[in-house]
Amino acid sequence: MDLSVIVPLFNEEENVFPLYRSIVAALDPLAVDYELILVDDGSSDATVARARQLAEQDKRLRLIILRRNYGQTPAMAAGIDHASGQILVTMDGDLQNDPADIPILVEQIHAGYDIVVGWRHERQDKLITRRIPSLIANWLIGKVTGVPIRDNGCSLKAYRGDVIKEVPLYSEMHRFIPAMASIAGARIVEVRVRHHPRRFGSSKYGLTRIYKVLIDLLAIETLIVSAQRPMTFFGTLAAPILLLAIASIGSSIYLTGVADINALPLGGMGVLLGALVFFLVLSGALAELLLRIGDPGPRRLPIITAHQNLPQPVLEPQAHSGERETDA
Amino acid sequence: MLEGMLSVVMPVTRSNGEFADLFEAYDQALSRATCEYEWLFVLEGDRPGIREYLEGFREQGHPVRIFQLARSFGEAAALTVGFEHARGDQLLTLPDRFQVEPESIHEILAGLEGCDMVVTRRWPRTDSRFSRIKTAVFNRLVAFRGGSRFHDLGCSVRIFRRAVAEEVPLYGDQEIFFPLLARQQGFLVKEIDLPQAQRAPYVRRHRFGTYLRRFLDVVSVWFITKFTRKPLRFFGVVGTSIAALGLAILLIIIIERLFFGVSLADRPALLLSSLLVVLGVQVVSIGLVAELVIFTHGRELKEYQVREIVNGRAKPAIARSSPRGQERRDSVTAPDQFRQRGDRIGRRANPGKH
Repeated sequence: MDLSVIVPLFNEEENVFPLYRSIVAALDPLAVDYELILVDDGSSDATVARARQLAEQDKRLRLIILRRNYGQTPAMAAGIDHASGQILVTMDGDLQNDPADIPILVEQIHAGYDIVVGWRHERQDKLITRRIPSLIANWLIGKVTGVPIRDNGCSLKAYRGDVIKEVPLYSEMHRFIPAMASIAGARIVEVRVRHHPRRFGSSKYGLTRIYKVLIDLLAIETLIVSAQRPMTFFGTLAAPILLLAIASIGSSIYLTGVADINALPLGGMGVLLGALVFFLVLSGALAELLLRIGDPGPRRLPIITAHQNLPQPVLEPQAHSGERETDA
Repeated sequence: MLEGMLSVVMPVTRSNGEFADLFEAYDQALSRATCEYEWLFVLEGDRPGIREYLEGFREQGHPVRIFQLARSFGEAAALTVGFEHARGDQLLTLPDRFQVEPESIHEILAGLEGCDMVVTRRWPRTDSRFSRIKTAVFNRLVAFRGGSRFHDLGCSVRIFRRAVAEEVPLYGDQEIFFPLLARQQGFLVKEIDLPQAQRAPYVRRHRFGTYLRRFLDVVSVWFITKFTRKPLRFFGVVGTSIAALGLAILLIIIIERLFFGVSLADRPALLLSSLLVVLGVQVVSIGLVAELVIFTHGRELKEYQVREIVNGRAKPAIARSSPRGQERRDSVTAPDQFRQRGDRIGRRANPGKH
């Protein structure tokens, strides 16, 4: 199997048939051996019935029905786990992504990149509620993770199968997949993709995500820095506190002994900070232990991505967008 | 009514005199149901009278199997032993005391139609007002943040399909939250009312420590159901608010030092603020360590459950949960001494004592 296209669906009854038609229309001319994986994320409408109808006619379509609604990341993880293609493409089920872009993404994988990220450069969404929060989130994610991708929220992405299957996917991590993979030196490239306004159904996102993204970012930041050497991470955190502790204990001794002022609270603060330093260093040791006994999967990523003699990661959009400009 | 076989699992913890009545009442009620069934008794520690009584039944050819644990490991462990050995397609758990009228047991068997698990609520109640208030308070407390819609988690008369027993891990004192955990795994859980048993209500005497433990259980289940995959969302909020409080106090006393000339070095408020900041940083760093735990085990913690695959192979191409997940499930079941079937293992004497 060359290619698996993974589409999570949640209450997209109007979109199932058009989606299927456009994916088949985009991929059939390519003469690749592909499969289409639809993941139903606990829909309550006719999504399952319609997808089942399609699955009867087309054996290349695999329908995975989840027990309840789990959210986009688990649904994608389900699709990725069950996919057998060497290249995996994920996209949204709301027809805002255009399956006609899939060949361009696949081409970049063949060119040697591990992850290809779609960039909706002419986004067809509401400015205030969707585009501005997304701009802020992308800027923050880029700053924190060091992977300046312009559009983390775009679901249209292509992955090398063996790479994505080693990346932990849980919670709402799908928007951080490139960052997570880049920890391990995965080669990432961004390409411009088309973006259509929503035709059927309604958007399933809201503004409340921003807070969650912020907390998740902190988690990602820790993971990026500490996944390889946790002791260094916690040690760096502890070093300035240690200086502060020494300074306050020293000045407390000086004040009490020389200037004859009762500076015991200051000394107490120094002792507390010293205890914190101790605690942080021990946390680092605990983290070392955890990584040692934990799943080696994420740490195997450098090995998987290393064996090809390929160009360095390029984060600029590829120049081959001439044809894209015309039909966008 | 039910297709396939029914396994009835009963953990025997208490040695009360009415065990024979209990067993016979349930056995009669079950034998009137039109399905094949087997009994699995898990004896927690020595229960000499009960054991001989059950052995007698087995020798008469009744479908009774007995598992003897070395001591009490908690109800969840006992149930897990029963689930491991059950042969049925449906499993029914019964407590070793009268909670509901045995005669009404056919209602719960019928209720499994169209869902994965049926739990019962003792209603109408016949016991004391104090017990009723306890039940109400406990279930409201669970419902408060967890969004539970169950009214009587304490009633352990539950029937469910085999998949539920296989996929919902139980440990410690979590037996009581079984319906909640099952629903979190995506199973359809239904609650029905069964009349509470009239005869000789067993009065549970709890010490204060038990209530405290129950409360901590509620907290841990709340954490497990909400934050397992995102521990930092919990620790982060708690830690940053503590540290923010500390920093606010620090700011106030620094302003007082700078503009009002109040000496800084000898103020106990300085200690309080630094204590809060230190605590806050510690809480956040525990959260970070927890994130690392999830990160390194993220592929095993499969977050979704598949109901059905159309046009697919039965097994995923690459299972995130295996083979390591398999090990994990095995280790959940029990220490080795649980696995011994039928033969008795006493509490090991401490050789150093003599």
